[in-house]
Amino acid sequence: MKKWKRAMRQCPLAICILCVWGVLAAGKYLPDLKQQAGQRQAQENAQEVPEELTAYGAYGGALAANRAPELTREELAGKEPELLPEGEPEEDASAALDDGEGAGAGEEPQEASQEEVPGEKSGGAKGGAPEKVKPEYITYDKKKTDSPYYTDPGKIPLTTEYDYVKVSDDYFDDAVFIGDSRMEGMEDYAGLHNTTFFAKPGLTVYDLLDDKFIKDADSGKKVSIGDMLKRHTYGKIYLMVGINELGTGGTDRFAQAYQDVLQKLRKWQPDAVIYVHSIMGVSPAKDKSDPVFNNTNIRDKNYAISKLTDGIHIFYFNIQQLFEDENHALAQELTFDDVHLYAKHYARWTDYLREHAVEEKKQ
Amino acid sequence: MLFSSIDFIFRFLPLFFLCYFVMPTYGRNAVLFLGSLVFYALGEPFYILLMLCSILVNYGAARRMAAARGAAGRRVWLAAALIFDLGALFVFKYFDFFAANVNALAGRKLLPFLGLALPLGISFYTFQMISCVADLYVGTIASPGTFLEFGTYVCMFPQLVAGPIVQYREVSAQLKERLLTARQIEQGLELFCLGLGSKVLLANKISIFWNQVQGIGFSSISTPVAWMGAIAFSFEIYFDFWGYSLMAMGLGRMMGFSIPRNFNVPYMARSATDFWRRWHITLGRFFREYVYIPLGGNRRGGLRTTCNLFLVWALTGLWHGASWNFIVWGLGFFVLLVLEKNFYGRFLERHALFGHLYVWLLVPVSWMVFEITDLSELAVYLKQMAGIHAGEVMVGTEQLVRYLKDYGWLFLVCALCATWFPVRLYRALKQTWWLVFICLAVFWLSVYELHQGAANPFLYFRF
Repeated sequence: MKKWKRAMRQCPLAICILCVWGVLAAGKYLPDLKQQAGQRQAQENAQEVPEELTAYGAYGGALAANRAPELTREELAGKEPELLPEGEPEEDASAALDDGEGAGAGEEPQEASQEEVPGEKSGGAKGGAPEKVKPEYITYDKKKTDSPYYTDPGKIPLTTEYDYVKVSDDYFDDAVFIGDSRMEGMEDYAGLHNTTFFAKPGLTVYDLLDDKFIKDADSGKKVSIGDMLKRHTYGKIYLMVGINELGTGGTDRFAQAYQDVLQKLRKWQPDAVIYVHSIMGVSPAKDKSDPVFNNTNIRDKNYAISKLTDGIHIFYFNIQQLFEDENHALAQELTFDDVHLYAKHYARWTDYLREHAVEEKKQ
Repeated sequence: MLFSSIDFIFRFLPLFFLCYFVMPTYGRNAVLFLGSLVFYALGEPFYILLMLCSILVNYGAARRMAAARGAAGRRVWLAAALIFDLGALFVFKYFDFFAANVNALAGRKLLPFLGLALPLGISFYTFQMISCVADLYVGTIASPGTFLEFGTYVCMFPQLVAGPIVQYREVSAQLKERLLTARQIEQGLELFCLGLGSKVLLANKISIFWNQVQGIGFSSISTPVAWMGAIAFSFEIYFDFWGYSLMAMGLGRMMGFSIPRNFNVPYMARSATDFWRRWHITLGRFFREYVYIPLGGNRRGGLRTTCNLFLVWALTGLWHGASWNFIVWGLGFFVLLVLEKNFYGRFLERHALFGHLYVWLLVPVSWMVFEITDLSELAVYLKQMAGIHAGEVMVGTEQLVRYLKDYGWLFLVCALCATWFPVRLYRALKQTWWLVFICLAVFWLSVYELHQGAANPFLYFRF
């Protein structure tokens, strides 16, 4: 006891650090064990997970430890069974969206409740209803990939074909721009002042509508994009999201979440034109070195996004083309950190938007 | 492996200290030597051979020199060691820079690029070995000790990768026998915690702002933002390096070594001369003792002194990196020092306010010269700082207000910690529970931050 007292007097800091460490380690280790048990259980249950994917579970885990510890590890643990080999669910899902669209577009776009009834084919080819515009693609030779997050789609979607018109800046007065840090760059440097931006670094498609980061001018409270969209009416919605979640689950899950977002946007803003941006690529340096944040992964996600667009209400913008080099990567000289554009280059983007406007929504 | 990584703090360090303290005193050098090799190998599995080879060559030369009778014999071995050390440094650090310049001068591809990666810590351990060999030559020390002692001196992991540049005579006695008390361990731990906090809580945080400025592109920023960026980088480099040096001192003390102090509140200097007495003290000491004074120092007339200073500062610049901006940076200090020596140095020392303002104005500018490797980009940045805008300023008042809101408090904390305040606080609270509490809080906060960022900049670079 005396010894302890003396030690405590001489090295209190050492003892305190060790004690706290001990407690934390114990506290961390136990849940870890539980989680591991849960993960094993999940893997045992998921018979249909193809072998490569389970093999990459370990790889994913290692990545997760390196990258974004909490998020990815949990996602992987919980969601691995969902990572199915080919994009069947997303095909289904986009079909469901189309049906909702078709039905809604036929007569009353406001009747968004129809979206809740998938599988009921009604609108589509009816009367004067507009036809869905399928996205066009640049195709290239697929490469073999070994990632739990993506496969190489072999396709780069192009901007939805449409007779876009050129507009002046007041076109954006009733527009809302939603996205991550690169949309925030747009907010800061693109020179569009009289419009609305809901942009936040790190925003993902998974928390897009629920993250309460907007300060509401009326109440002074923090609200989410979802809250704002429910309350206000916008004429155009510009959306760019998807880079932060490249390492959160596979493309199917991403597509599902993206589709959910689009459905909600349609529901809350049935009259708005939705412009969906491609996820802008990363520079060749990052593309080569990063197993997650690379252009193949981004193309896979972009391909999935493009399939959710219809050329009626939802348009796809291949914004990448403004900033890419000959290999369709973000040109190295346009960026400092391999991801974000230098401020002065955002003007190209704005010009593109000015030249690609859907003037009248087709009825 | 970085000191400020979870792996180092919670894996390497406990394991190492367990081995170290369990080992009886006679075996501790071996534990430290092997532990340091493991530490180095974890970060640099291949170039460890280069380091071991350097140690062997230098130890051999040092032994021969200690045994040699005449001055001629000693000179040969000194030359051999220096040629090897500087040769290795030249090949691995400067060859490509040299080749690029020769090719540019010749107008054709005369020399090929080697494209070698810079071996971790080569600038530091090479200088340590040179200082030991040179001291032996002059006779300041008599013997390089045993191989284990010499090897431990060169690659002891606290100072291996980022200094301070310890001199052999400072630690030779401790390498043979060192007293280790509980009090020392405690003090070492305190220093380590505070150093970690400096690196993780201040340097890493404020680096976000500097990265942001770089991400915007220099051609689009306004003058106040340019200054904020320069100040942010000044804080970043200071707290980063100071933190690292503190951690090194702390780790050294926990093993019974007294590793010399590397920083003495540099931003409170009153002149550039004073700044370099306080900034990276062990490097300044190296150049003074092994370059400036052997060349004659200031005892051979004004012209010779100026030439010596020129050489010292060109070398100091070059030591920091193989690029022209570092040379410009070093020579900038040469100009300032010469001016201060001959004209207004006295005035600045006497009038503290002017001295401080002078330093606070010049230091951020000098750090920009240091940081921006591309000379044309550097010119753009300096012009922005001076208020000469070539292009459209996209980041103006509106963003400035936001930056001040987001980072204002951080700038204030950094400014406070760059004054005498933390040093005096530390002294005042010595051996009280307050200090324990502060260290504990700083340590766990840092660990929390590291855990959040998981030793990668993802948290800082959220897209």
